[in-house]
Amino acid sequence: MSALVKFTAATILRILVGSLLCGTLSDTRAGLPPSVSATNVPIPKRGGTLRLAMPNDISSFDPALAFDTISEPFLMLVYQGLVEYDDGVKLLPCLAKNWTISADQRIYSFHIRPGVRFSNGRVVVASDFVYTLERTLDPKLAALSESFFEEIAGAPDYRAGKTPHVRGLRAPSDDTLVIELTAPDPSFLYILTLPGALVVPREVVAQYGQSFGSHPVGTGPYRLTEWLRAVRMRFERNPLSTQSDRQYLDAIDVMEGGDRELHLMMFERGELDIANITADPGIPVPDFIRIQHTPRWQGLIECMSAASSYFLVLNTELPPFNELKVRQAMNYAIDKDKIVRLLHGTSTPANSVLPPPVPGYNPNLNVYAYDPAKARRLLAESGHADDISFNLWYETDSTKPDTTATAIQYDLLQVGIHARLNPVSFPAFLDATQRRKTAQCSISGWSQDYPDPGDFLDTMFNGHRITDEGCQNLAFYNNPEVNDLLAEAATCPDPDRRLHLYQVAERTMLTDAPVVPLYFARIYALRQPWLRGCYLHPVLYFRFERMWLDR
Amino acid sequence: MITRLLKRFIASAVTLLGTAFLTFFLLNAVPGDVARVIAGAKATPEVIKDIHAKYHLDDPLWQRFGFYLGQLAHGNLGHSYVTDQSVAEAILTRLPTTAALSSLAVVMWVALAVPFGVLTARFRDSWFDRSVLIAATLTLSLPAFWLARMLQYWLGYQLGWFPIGFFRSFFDLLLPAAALAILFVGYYARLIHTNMVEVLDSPYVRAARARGASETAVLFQHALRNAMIPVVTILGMDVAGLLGGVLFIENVFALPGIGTLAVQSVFNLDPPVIMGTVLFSAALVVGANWVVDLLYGLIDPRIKTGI
Repeated sequence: MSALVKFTAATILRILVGSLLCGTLSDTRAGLPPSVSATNVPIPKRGGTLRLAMPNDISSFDPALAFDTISEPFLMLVYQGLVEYDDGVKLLPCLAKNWTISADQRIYSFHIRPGVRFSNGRVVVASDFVYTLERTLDPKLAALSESFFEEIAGAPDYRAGKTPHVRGLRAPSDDTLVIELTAPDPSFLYILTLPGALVVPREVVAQYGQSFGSHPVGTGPYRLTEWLRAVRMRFERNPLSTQSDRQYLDAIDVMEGGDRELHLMMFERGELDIANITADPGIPVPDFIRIQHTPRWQGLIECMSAASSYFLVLNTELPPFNELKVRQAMNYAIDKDKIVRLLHGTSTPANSVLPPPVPGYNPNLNVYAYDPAKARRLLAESGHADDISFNLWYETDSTKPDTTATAIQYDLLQVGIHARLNPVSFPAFLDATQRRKTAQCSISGWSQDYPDPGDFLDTMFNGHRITDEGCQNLAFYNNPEVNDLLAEAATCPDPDRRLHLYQVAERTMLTDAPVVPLYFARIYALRQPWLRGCYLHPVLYFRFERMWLDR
Repeated sequence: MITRLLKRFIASAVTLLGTAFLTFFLLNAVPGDVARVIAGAKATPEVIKDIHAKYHLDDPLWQRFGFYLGQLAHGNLGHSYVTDQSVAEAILTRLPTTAALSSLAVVMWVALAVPFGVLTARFRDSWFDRSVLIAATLTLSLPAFWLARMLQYWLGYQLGWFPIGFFRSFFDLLLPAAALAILFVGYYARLIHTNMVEVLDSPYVRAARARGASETAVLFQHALRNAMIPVVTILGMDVAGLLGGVLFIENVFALPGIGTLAVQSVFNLDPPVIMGTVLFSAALVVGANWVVDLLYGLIDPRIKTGI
């Protein structure tokens, strides 16, 4: 994630989005760009400048140091990797022309597309990928997506300084790259879409050193031609790129600063082409209902279920949540539909941790439906009727958690549980919730890094991942049965069985009630009528390089 | 004279040092790990450890403060943890915007405050004087962020008369400068009013009138010049302290100045930039004090000996 803030980080926890009114919106599901219909396919025009604004600067143009949903669409203008997403979550060849996977699913051989050049003119060769991945794994760089690549054979030894190179990364020729994993990982190709795997030229990194992030050079369709930190960015066509269908726009101008309300006003004055590109939820909540009912914007609101879910975390190591009945009572006591109504329908109620766009999502899962009477009964059985009180931690950055927290507080009070609201700053929130035996209960969330159930379930509910600090298993949940299911699923080569294992693990976990699922985020994009090709992507959200201006 | 200057210099240095000390230690008392802010919610303990090592976050506080002072002594404000940009460079690239905004605001409020101040003194206790007094009290009590948003919303968004955000041309500064000017104009109109009332009663003004000087000449040539001396002093101090108001105005209008830099650095929990902007504004106040004292001596030769 990125620092600015941490935008990145904050995005994960910021809750928004969704829609009661989605019937009136064009829901852009993967593969169906709304501006394209079978009978009337508009022919893209070249030219014009896309005008955007966002509240904060992106964290870095060094792909190793930027890892958040705000930076990624901009990184993808400048950089490319071996593989890329299609309109949905299927992977297509990008800088790799094709690849083969060994029978034991541990060795990947990529054939590099010939003749692709970095924007400095040099031809990309296989050893550039070896260099890029070794750089991402280098502890001195502190790359943010580093941990995903540790499954490459020899990576731990390299990180410990025992070997000068990563054993599992080899470039036998200029057009062949071999990556060897320690164990099979069916999601490894997805990991290659992460920023840490986007190829960078070693000579430019060597030239700029630490400030490479301010002088990006990649193979993407655009070049960063101006960047005044936290003031503005400008991208122009990369003349060495051969992807003319990614270069309709002459340039992309991004103004940095101001808040969402200012950006919406400027958009309505016609000064911006998209109202809000931070997709959180894309239309400021106070204006949400008004915009939806403004005739001028009908048909111009794109809407998508985001792969983010929000939940109440119950720390299973601390009383009173070390008791199953109390955790179950919490699940029965909270009315999710009401919370979603309070958020103007910018989200949808959740009964699971896996959100709808992620493979393995189970719409029929409803372990604990809202039932306050049952909650009271469970509390009485556990001997805790009316004597439970605790601090409810949440992050103050946005008004949404406030709404959510007060709604939860009210519902819990109805069954005799006393929650004290404890809003804290983002860093203090992370510090407390990720530290062992510190926060009893918190409102938290998770956004996908790549579309795979393991990214949610293994990261957050695997008991083997519990650490004393910086722990992502916020409930400190440890059930050997779930651990075994997750371990088997992680390396399972059969996709159907793998999803099945994850679904069983999720159901078992939810029955143990270490979390109360709250809601899933929805994302909106409000665009001008002349902007085409602006559909939301399930992972990257915005793909500016595919947009064009129809005027 | 030399000893006085020296004393003054030492006092200024101690002020800045104290500011640096307080800011540094208060920053480190803020709950939360800076590395976590840099790395985000999903960072693994290894990444956090790497970042701690990269920025020496595990060194003792005194050692880090000593290191910071050493840098400072070489005129180096350090680099942002978040953007890796040099803090001095960040401040310098943003200074022109803040300077342009502040200067335009000062011109606006002085240009308005002078006629209002002079005329309310001339027509003391009239309905005009009273309405200006009420208006002045009102504008003085307005919160900066509220006023800025209202002007932006009504004059910019609803009526479409002005641009509403970002800094692309001079016209983008009109509304924000007006917002800043409105916050000060009432105070200055009253200040000039009070001084004018006093001056208008003085014998030399009566003498000027007796000589048959026109009313305009009496007010604006004879009286105003003397009434402005204390105003200039306060203006000097206010210009240095203007950064407080600029902070809100720049953020509402998305102007890339020192104010937005300061606010962003706080939200980012970016210690080098917070330190840099705080020290910069402290230096501005200290510097303005020097300038005002010097100016004072120039305007009124009697004060010169007092410096």
